[in-house]
Amino acid sequence: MTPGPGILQRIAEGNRDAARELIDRYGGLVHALARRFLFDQAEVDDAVQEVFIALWQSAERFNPAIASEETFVAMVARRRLIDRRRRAQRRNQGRVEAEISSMPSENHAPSPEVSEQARRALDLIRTLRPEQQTVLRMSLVQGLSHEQISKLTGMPLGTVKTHVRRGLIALREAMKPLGANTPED
Amino acid sequence: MPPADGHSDPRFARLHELAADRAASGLPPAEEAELHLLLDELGPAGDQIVDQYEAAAAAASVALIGADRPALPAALRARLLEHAGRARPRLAPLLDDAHDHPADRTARVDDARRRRFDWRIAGGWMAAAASLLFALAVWQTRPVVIPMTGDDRRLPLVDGGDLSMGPPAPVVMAGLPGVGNGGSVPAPIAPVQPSRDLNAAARALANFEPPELRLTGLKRSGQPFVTVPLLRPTAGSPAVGEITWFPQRQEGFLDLHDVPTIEAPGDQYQLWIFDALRDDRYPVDGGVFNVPAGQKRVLLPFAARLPVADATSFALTIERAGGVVVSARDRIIAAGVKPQARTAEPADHTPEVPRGGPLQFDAGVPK
Repeated sequence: MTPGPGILQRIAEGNRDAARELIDRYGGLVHALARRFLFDQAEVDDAVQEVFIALWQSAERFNPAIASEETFVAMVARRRLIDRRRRAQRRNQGRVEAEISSMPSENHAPSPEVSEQARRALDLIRTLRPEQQTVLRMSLVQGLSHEQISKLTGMPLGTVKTHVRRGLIALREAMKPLGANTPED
Repeated sequence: MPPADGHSDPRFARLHELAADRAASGLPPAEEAELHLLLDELGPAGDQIVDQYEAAAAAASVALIGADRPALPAALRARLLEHAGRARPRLAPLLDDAHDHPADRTARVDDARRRRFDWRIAGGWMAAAASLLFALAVWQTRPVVIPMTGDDRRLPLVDGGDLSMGPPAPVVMAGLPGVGNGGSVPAPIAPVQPSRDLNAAARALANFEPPELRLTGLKRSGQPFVTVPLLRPTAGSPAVGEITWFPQRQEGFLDLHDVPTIEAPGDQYQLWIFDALRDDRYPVDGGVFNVPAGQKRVLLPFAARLPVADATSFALTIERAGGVVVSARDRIIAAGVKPQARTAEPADHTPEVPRGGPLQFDAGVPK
């Protein structure tokens, strides 16, 4: 089932029922992302709330030409979570790597509810070499820095950067049909 | 390693790198600043590229998580629903400053001020907003009561960083007036959040130049700012200092004099910023700090990590070390209400440099 459009638009119009609908539809997604980015359960809860407040407040910025509603939710969530994780990493140097092994593993079975964009992304990721997939997963889903990925995998830092950038460039290209072309393209 | 898009401008190549890195796991401050400069130069085309990378990373994240989306814990869902009831869509600042045009923000803030007029009169924290004592009384008697059971913890929202300079020195709060909670206030919920992040922005600024020089420079630069005197909650008491807040920069300076060092182990001062666009019960945390022993006057830079659209007032409290998410409001040291917005100061005005020299936030602070 593809998430029905219009929740964010209705929130932007001040429809409070839509806010509840947003929680029920995307709460699991945001929570799942937060659990991967953050270590502390209390911080996970705080982050989830921060993300939803941000979504309510920024709903009017949703542009279906750039991203599906689900992707937009994940964009907002990831931006918040990345910021939180970077702050947490400064607090907990050394703890990060130790806790990675306890992070939830990724489930490669696509959710029946994921958007067309997510399916396209998954198709693209599956075409990458295994080490590239690993690096992308650690970067995109766990929010690890290039340096941390290098340390954990033993890959040279430059290789990690290359994998992440190439992977994202390919993903962006794969997403493009849903987005607008940029002048430099 | 930019995409083969045929564009000859090398700035786009760098933009692709930065946008990809940012979308993946964020950028360090220097590269974030570089990205913003590039976006300023490249205009909407650059913004669009950044958005596309963010969308690509988000879609990939969704795909990689797959079906592993357990339902929200019931307590968390309940809290979200509670917030949803208070949500004010379209009134809040944008979530992403990098793409927030100043004109848009100004328009939103103005719009929000108009819309909030009615509830302000109805009895918000800063209701009529003119009287500091009134404001303090209201704040003190509006405790935050959050049902807490089991692992149900706290409301969020406030995490503005930390001005911590290391463990507080053990001294007494001699000379500070005690402020009770009126006797009728239910036991407040003030869970300690000891692991909040250092205020990286403020520390970074302090690392580059002394706060007093930076303050002078910002005032001379034409940046709009407001100056808010901080008064003790006792009528007729002299000011203990003032806050200079630069709304467009989301940073400020806390200038304190004759505020003693906290000797009690485990206590620190905590600064709070009240935003017109946020629930007054949950002001934004401006950071925690202590005054070094023997320091008569200090100038502390701080920065709001959460966007503050319209800082209406500030308060200084004593809290447990590391700061709290929600203040008990039983040890209010000082507070100040914003008068009216000021314009930039004349270029020939040089503010007084605080006696005793600036605080060094980088000393003893883990990076």
